[in-house]
Amino acid sequence: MIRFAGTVWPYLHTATGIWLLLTSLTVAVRPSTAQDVLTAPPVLNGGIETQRATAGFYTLSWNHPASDLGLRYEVQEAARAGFVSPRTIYSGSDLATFVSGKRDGTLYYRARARPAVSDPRYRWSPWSTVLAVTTAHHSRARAFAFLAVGAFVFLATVALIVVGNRANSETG
Amino acid sequence: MVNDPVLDPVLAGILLASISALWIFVGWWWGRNAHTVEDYMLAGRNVGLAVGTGTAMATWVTSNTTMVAPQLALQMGIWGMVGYSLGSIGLILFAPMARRIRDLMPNGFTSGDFVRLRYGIVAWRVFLAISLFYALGWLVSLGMAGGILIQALSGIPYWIGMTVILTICVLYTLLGGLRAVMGTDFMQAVIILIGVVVLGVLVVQNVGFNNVHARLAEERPALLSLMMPAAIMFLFNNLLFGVGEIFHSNVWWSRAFAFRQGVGFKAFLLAGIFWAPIPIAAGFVALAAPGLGINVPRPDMVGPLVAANLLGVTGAILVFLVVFAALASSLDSLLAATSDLIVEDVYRKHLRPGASNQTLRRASAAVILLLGALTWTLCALNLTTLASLLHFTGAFVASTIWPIAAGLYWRRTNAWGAAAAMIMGSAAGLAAYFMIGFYVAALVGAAVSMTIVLLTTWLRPATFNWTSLQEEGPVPDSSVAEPHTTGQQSTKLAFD
Repeated sequence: MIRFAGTVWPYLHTATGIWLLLTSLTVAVRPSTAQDVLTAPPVLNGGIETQRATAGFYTLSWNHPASDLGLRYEVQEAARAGFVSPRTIYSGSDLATFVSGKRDGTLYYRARARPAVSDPRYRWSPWSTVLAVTTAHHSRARAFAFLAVGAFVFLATVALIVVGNRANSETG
Repeated sequence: MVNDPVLDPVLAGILLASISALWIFVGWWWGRNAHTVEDYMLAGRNVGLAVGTGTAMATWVTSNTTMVAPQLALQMGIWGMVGYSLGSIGLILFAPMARRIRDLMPNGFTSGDFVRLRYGIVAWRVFLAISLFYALGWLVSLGMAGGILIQALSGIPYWIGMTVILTICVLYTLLGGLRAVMGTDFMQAVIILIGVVVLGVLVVQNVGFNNVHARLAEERPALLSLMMPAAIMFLFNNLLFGVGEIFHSNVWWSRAFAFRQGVGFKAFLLAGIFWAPIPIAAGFVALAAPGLGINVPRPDMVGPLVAANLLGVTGAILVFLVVFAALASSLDSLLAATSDLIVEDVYRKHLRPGASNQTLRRASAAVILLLGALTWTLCALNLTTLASLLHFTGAFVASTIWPIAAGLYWRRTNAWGAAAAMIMGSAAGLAAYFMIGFYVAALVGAAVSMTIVLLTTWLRPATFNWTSLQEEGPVPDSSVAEPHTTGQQSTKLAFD
């Protein structure tokens, strides 16, 4: 990934040569392939739960073929596929984010990458393919049915233990 | 996944080495007088109230509490936090059961002993399969939590943290058995209680309730809703999961056998009361994440990440100490109790009925080492998140609630009913796990199991004789009789 610009070996035997070598190292040790590689967008993935999030939470993850170069990512969320007024939900070098507490509906996500070093020569990659995540919570009827069953099992268990202890203490 | 750790890896390494050395030394110190199998497996059956309460509370404060409770708060919101604290009900309900267990089985060794004597061979083998599967799942979750914690705070690779915590717990459990486990648990309980209180106060001071509420309302509104369907479904699921874990697991039965007569009831009751607020405090930390703009790459990292980012290096060290103590206190207990179950119920009862005490002691050490190695291998695969792994086992353990509780109190519950309840409850819970979600697996397993126990008890009542439970344990070897006496004397000094 790192390459030296120009031929430096002929200058090695002189002080000028050494200075030139150091200069060329400073200038040329750079991820020169980064800009080329970043013509490709990152890949944005959702876990299996993003196909239909029934509890309002899911994990988004992303990656880029040039991630070894030390990249910075930006991930946006929008209510519409056209990203009219998007919200940046993550900006940094992590490779995933956990989303939760979403109400019913579909949200759209996209990501882009750039080298982490602050150098104006490096621009953002194109945006990734848009990922759509639909949240559709369980129905309230189903939720309360489970709540009622759970409460019944719990109360029955408490009754079993309390009555059992009382009966045993009475009979010694 | 985390590229911006708060703790310097060198500092984290020094902390890790210091804590490891401390726990190994303390484990060796407490366990140095464990000479007989009964000393090693049950701490001489002479544990007092203070150590008893400390070990019950510390063991129940685990990766579940310190890392999964924040995860569930971030996933399920307010009900996730409250639902998690209902795990204390399991300890509180076990309090009267501990007294009953001690009365019925004064010489008992494991929960497997009870199921074998109460229900016979078939139900016993079903129970062993469930119990060992659960124990392995819990062990793996603890090892994973160690790796995740250290990676989240310091960037040290997951497998190093996981390897270190497994190694030190295996070492000090090997050195002193249950006696070492309970001694370290007591100290770890004190660290956990102080640490969680300090952390909760610091979070409230630094962020404040209003800020947390405002950001959640804007970005994650469902977390504040008391009507979030998955969270409503989760509420009793978590309670029943906790009840199932405690009712069946040899971790808790071994404590019921180890506590001095009359101590079990008070110790479990107090432990449940002390434990209840801890998930609330730990969960609240997670809800502060959106307000602080902290990225959470995976939900089980949220607790350590928030504390570390909010409170800087001091917070990171505090979380490190608390969670490490919580993990170690559960991991050692589980290693000791699971090894007891394997040695007593599989090795002695199935393979070597005439094994001497010394042979059993050697077998116990070998099993602890093997369990450590197996856990390491499964942790290294890093297949899932902590909550998913734990709640997968929920389908199995919740199906044991009614066979165990009814078996302790009802003469009429029969063996086939108990076996069928565990098998069909587990199957139904698993089906619910895959078809609906992890947040209903235990609930469905417990409901189906209860229905089968009630039906079979009503249709085919048995007449069980309680005195059948009073079986003698392993016969003491004459070669170890002398140290046994010495050990018991020092046990009283240490554990009174």
